[in-house]
Amino acid sequence: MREELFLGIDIGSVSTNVVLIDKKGEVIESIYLRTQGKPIEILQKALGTLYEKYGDRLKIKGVGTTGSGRHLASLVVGADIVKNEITAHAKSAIFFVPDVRTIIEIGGQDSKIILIKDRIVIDFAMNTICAAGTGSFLDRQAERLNIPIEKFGEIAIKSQNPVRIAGRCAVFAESDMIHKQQLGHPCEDILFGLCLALARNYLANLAKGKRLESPILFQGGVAANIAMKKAFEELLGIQIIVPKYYNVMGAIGIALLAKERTKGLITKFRGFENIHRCKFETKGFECRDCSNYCEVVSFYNNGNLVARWGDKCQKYSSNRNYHIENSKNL
Amino acid sequence: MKVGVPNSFCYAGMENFFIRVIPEILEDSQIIFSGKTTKEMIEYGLKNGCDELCIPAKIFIGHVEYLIRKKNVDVLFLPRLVSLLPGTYSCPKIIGIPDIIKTNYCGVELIVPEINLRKKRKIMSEKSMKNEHLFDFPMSKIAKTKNILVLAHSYVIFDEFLNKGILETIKSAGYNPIYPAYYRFNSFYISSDLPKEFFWSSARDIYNYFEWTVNNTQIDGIVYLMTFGCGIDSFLQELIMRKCNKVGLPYLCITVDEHCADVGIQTRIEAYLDMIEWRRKSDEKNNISTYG
Repeated sequence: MREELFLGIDIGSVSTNVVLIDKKGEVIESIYLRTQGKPIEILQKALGTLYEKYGDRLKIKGVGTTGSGRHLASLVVGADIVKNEITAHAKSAIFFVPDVRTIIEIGGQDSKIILIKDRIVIDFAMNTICAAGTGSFLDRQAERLNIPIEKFGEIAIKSQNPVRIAGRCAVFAESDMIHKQQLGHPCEDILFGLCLALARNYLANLAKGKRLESPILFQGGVAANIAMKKAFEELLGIQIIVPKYYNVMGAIGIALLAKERTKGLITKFRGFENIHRCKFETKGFECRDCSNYCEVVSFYNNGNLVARWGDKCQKYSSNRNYHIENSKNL
Repeated sequence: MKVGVPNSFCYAGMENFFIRVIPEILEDSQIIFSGKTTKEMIEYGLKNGCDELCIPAKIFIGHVEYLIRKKNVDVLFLPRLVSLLPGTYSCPKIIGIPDIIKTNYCGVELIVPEINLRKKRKIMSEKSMKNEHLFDFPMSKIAKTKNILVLAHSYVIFDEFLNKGILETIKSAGYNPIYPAYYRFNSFYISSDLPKEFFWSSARDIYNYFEWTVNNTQIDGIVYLMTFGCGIDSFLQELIMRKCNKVGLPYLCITVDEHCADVGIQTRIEAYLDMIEWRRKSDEKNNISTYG
């Protein structure tokens, strides 16, 4: 397998996904891991797994990073392209289903709707401040009811009489759920009621004023939950497609974009061994030099300061030696 | 006498007006502006503002506290901006902000003259009252192509802490951000879309500028920066969104609030600019609009 491969990395709040695609866009390998608040370590682990499996046979021609941890990841691996997750998700959805019109994407912390026409994104929306209806909330509720998250959909789908739960706010939804539970409603009815509430909330918040045309793709980690799919189908009255690689669509999209970007260029990828060998560290401190109180982050590779960011005046980010001895906070 | 003027919220962009007017009213006065918003001010503001207020008003309270605590001003100059365009009223929070300050900071002396363009007889001197003399925001230059219209209240557009440097982000992506002209424009423009002109000064200003640019210039997209808890924005945003959908302009609404991290805003604006770029490329290829 010495053909040209492209690496896509999507670091989200809940999961870290890594995929390998070949030059035709075929997915060779996909890895889905929980970020657990340690993006760098988990990324190193994922790349390590790939390297152990394939060794030197891997010939990486391009790397892209996306997700909320995209800038951090690009420093670790040496990315050719760093793009937001909306563009990445749209790219992969269009690649798999060329006539797709709507993408429902629900991840760990945020949910998005992307409208597409003639293979072009025409509109999108992302949830605002509230994280009600995203993966981490479902996770929490499953944990509270002592149900493994993988079983959530299976149990919920059995429901005959779903209860009504207010999905406007995660805190209200939870208290509503507890009330229904204490009244003696069966578990599956509460779970499916929750799915319906979340789908309703999604449609009211994100799809407000937008026309959802089919085909509709449902992707992101929450698409694993068959009850959520059913809830959307019930509310919209349209069939919804869950693509095969629903949970790593962002990573596939960014790998495809990396493939486009590196056409005729040499990749900036650092190599698996280098990444594995290096020890990456970040340190943060609050600068008190002026009243802006910027939160500055320093990024170290094997103890050497590589980059800094977060300061408004750019005295740290433009000059890496600035204040290195003076600052007690470091 | 040290006269403190918080130059944020409704008083942003009025510096030259204050420099002209305050010596007319108070002799031997030394004007002290609060300057740019800092995190310190935001912390003061969040602590002391009631939860009912919008974030710009909370930041304003931070500016006031900064002037009182750090600059030891003797008196605060807070004109009551009742109406900034003939036939309109300011937002109730703007009209009431001197009272909010009065109840929050009992020991401080306030000077509260009234600016009211609804009235024939004006409280301040006739010369300083013409509305083109009130605000000194820089006018945006409109380029031939690649313009992005950024709509928001002036205090959001010119406060980097509130908008998280959105104008810079747009510029670095190769687009030209344009923004409303702040009360310089409305004397000669009347909306043709609306059955009735807006009731609020700032809403009339923003909507009319929006309508004029859509009809008369080449713009690629519209970004509305909405402040959480703003009643005017919630109306205006909806009207602008509907008009954008009608004429097929890409529209993005970003809600700004107390967030410290700018990642969320950056992601949205990056994706939005990607979308516009994508459209432009496909238009160039096909020569036919795929979305309109």
